[in-house]
Amino acid sequence: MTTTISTQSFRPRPPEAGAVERPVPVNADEQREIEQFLYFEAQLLDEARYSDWLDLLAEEVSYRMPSRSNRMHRDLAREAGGTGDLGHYDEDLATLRLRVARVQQTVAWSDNPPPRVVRAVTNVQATRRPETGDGAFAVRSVVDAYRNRLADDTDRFTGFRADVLRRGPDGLLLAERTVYLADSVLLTKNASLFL
Amino acid sequence: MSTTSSTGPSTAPGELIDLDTGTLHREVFESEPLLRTELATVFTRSWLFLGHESQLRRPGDFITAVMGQDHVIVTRGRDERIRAFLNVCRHRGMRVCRADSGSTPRFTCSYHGWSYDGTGALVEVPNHDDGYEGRLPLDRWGLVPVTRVESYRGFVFGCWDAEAPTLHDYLDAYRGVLDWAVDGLDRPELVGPIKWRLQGNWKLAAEQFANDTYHPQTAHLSATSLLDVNMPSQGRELGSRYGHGWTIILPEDPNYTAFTFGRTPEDAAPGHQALIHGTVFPNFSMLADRVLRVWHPRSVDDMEIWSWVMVDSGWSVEQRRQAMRMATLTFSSTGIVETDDSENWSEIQAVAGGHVTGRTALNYQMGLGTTTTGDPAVPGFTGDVGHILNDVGARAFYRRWLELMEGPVPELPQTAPAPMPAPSQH
Repeated sequence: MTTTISTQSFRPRPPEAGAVERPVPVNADEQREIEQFLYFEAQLLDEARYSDWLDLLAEEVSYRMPSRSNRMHRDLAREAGGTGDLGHYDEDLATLRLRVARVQQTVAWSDNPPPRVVRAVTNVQATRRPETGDGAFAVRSVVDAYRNRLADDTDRFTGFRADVLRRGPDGLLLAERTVYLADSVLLTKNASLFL
Repeated sequence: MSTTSSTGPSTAPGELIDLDTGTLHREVFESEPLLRTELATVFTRSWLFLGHESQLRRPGDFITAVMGQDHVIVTRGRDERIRAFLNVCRHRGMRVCRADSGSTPRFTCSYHGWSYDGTGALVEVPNHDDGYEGRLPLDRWGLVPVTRVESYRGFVFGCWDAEAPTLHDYLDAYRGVLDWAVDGLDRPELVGPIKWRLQGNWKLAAEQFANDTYHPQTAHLSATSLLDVNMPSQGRELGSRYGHGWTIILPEDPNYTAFTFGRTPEDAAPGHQALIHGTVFPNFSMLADRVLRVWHPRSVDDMEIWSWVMVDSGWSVEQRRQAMRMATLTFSSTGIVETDDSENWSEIQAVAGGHVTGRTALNYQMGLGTTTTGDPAVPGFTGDVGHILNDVGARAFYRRWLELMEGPVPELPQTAPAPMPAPSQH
């Protein structure tokens, strides 16, 4: 599934090149299960139930938010940072647990008093991961979050997420997430919320 | 709490800061006229960080940067020399280069097509013959060059003031701090920046990094308690003549490793001292040797943060990633430490603007009267030194700020219009 714009994105498609393949959707039950998983996850985060959110993560979870930069067409391959670049998040389960442990303290001043966050999750496209036969799904979704804090401290976080979900003993688990915000300069004092 | 007795807004910098009593009038963070003065003096007479040579390895490589509110292009020419110019077309003022970085032999304006080479020279003007009758003196309409561009150990700085000290002299003892950032790296590579924007005057961040080791025990309690870190006690706070301030930790401090991002005294700099935080006046800061910062003044109320991490190109993929993850986790747009810094800066600014608030003095008195000139723990340093809990770094910062705010505006590069020769008679 296409993740970001590329050097090829803006060019006329060469005659010999094939069109972008239409994703083969999962069946309706699976689509519903995946959507409900993402909505539930968003609800837990909106309600700051971070311990419960951690339960939705696979042991091997990778959670990234690359930085994005302004590049001319020819350089678009480097428009979104990889793991060798500096990003906004590059987490594993241990560091996510650490972040949660911090924000759950009364002296985590940036979140006490807490912000009010509403996450909308849309455009959920799920496909089976062809490379693995383990019941995992590649899921692309759009997140659009609004955060209001204190009086008039407001932020909007909009981007798409490239996830891998896999089955765990109690249902789906988030095994990978890469959040591609649409911003190059984040117009916020912090992005230390989970999207 | 003392207040000024003036009845109206005061904008004379000298009335806002009293270094003898260690008080600072809050308007310093709130006045739009003061920001305009800062841009004309502080940001033109100081050496400003532009980038690192590792970002410009090949001729044609460029990055964009900001000096105060002046946008610039920094590029390596075919002659290998690094230059910087205003990122502004001389024709109608369009931003010439709209990419953050890349490589190009030419910067061509997307408005009318004026085109400049890697030395900033104007090399092509569409319709020069039929529009200008070939009369434009192209050599007078090149991109405006930053007056001086100099490097120290790969750190590239620019300055608009021809009379400023050399970068070497300007950095003064802070050269040793920059050394710590690259010592032990075979091939230093600056990675980033990530950028974000927040409410808060730029000086709030710059002075904190120059000075403040007092706040972590309160502001960062959520992070430090979790990481099992206590306040450092064995260190020094330094303030130098040109306004740089920094805090070092000594190897005997039990929290040494925690405050140096995992470095132990054994693998740290010679003498085992290490940086906790510091600021090269006015707005280039560092954290624990390897995280670099610029606090750009977007407006009097807002700053834009650019943050980088110094790594070694030769490190393994995992080692490189680990260095950046450490910075991301702690000091970044999402850092568990920094999140509480930005809360303070933005909420300080959020309550600005009140008439009484603006007239209330703030306290920079910690360690007043206890500082020494030099200190046995910091051989060779001849500036002001205090205990790790001491506002000496902030007082040095504002001493220099005041000096520049009350000083002259430097002569700027030749930006006067070049007359066009008269058309030839037919």
